[in-house]
Amino acid sequence: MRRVWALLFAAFAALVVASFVHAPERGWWLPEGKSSFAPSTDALIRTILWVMGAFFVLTLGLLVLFIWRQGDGSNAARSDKSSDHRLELIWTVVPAGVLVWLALTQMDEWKAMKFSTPGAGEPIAEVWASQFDWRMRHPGADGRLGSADDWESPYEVVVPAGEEVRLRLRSRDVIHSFFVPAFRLKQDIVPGRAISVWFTAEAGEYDLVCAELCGWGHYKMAGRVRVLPPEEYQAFVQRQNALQLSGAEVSGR
Amino acid sequence: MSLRSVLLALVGLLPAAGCGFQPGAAELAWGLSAKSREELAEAPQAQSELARLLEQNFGTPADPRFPPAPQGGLAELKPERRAALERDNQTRGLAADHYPTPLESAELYRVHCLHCHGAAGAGDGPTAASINPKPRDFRKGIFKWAAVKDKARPRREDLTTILENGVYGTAMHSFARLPVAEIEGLADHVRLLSVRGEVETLAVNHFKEEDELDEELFGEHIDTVWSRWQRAESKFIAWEGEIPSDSPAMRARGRELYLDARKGNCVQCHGDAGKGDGPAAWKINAKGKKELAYLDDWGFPIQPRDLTQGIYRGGARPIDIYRRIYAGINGGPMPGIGETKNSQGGPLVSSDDLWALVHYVRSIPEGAGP
Repeated sequence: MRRVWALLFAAFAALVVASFVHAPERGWWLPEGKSSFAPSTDALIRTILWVMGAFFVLTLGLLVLFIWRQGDGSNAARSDKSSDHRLELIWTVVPAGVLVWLALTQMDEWKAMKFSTPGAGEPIAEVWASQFDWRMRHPGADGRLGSADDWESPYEVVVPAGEEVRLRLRSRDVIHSFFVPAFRLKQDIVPGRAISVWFTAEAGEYDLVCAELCGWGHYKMAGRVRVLPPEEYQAFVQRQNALQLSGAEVSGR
Repeated sequence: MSLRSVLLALVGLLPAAGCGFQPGAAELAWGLSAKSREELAEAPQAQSELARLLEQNFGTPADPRFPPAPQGGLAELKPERRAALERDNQTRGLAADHYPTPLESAELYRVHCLHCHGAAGAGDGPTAASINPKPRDFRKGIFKWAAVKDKARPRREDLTTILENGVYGTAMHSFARLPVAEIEGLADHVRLLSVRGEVETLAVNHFKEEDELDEELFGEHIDTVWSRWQRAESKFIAWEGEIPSDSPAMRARGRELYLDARKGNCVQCHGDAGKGDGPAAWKINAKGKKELAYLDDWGFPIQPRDLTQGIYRGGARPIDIYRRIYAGINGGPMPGIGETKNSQGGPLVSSDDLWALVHYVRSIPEGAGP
């Protein structure tokens, strides 16, 4: 029986490793990175994955080995030592060192995302999250948010490509989280607070999802970030500013 | 095999069984509304005849039919929308004129809408109990957020706009994620449920008055209801050209009209500061408690919009607010003043004044944010 269990654990470990190996080609991985944060964040994720993967294989390997050899509960081959101070020191200090090293390596990344938000003045748009909807407010012709010429767009926020874009996140009800997987960008949205995020992205259309369980409809709280080349973006904004003051019918399609 | 391993194996099989759970449209039923059954309680024969006629003409959730447009609404799309549909289909690698069949539209409705709006569009889906405001009951044919006057039925665009934009401040979120073809298919199905509901009510009322119900008459009921829907286009509130621009003077003029008891008189319900706390909207009930004075057409208490919030259900553009003020809101007590005449037979409020009111209303939340 013990060999069955040992093989079961070995198979489990092999399955986990194989699923990671095949993840990128099967689309189980994050989408291709499309923001300025993506390369460094991906490098960090890979580093952490390798470290965790090594420990996973090591611990599972030892488990399989011990079950294979002694899983029947016999005491025959057991040492009578009750502790091994040197061994305990190693398995405490080495992982602790790895954790400290990881904590230090991600500091630059964290600083760039959270403490280097560029620019002052009005953001490109305000992103309002509510159960279970994204709605964006754009400053309109006067460049000021909160005035009567602001225009709203449901579902989609449109921003320029290759430029530093700042968005202000607001919630109308509960905690939501602004997550654009392709940008490797995630930020909680807390009611009563105005939290900014920033990024520089390549042109394209990217999924925006809510990453904080916000109620029964959380699963369908989806939006989109449309990144346009700068000239197209300028034309789009001008058209929207004009449409706001016309009676024309608008559909974003 | 020990008992424990058998149990483990069973628990292991649970997810496999659960993942296969797919309630199909075939398991759903439309049937008669609770109101029809109540009204026809004394006439079981009429009940079964009505159910038969409804099924014969509108089919079932597994085989939906819409006599006025059996193939769906593709032919009704305006050129611009048709172009958007073709573009969207092509980006998805589909044939340019790809369009859901009535059954596919019913299936989309089941996936996206049913859990709030219910199988027959009665606004009684399983989620409905937990949301406020309640999901729309389509069967009256009344849609609040439409760009039409005279309490007309909505145009096709009014339905698709709501699907794409959502109704802000309610649980109806934007479905802009769906392909254009699916949005149009959903509009078809909503229209089917709405027309079906109206025809059912008409048939019940007619039976109660005249004691008649047969195939020919039922066909006439469908024609009557469908002609209401076909009038929608002629009831569109259009605005060509420039909108009179916003200015402090316009806002001040708007404020005057807002307060003027003979003109806007908005203050009666929306209150002096626009908080929806005007005297006419509330009453003191027999127990001495304050409660809402008006019910909407579905029988729910209705509160005037708090205009300080900047949350506008039917759209936040000036033209959207203009249409609300012009035609009122179908299904609720909000009156329209766009075509009200003064004692000399001229318009009570000029279009410039309407725009002044729009600019004033939109300035109320300024700085407050939605």
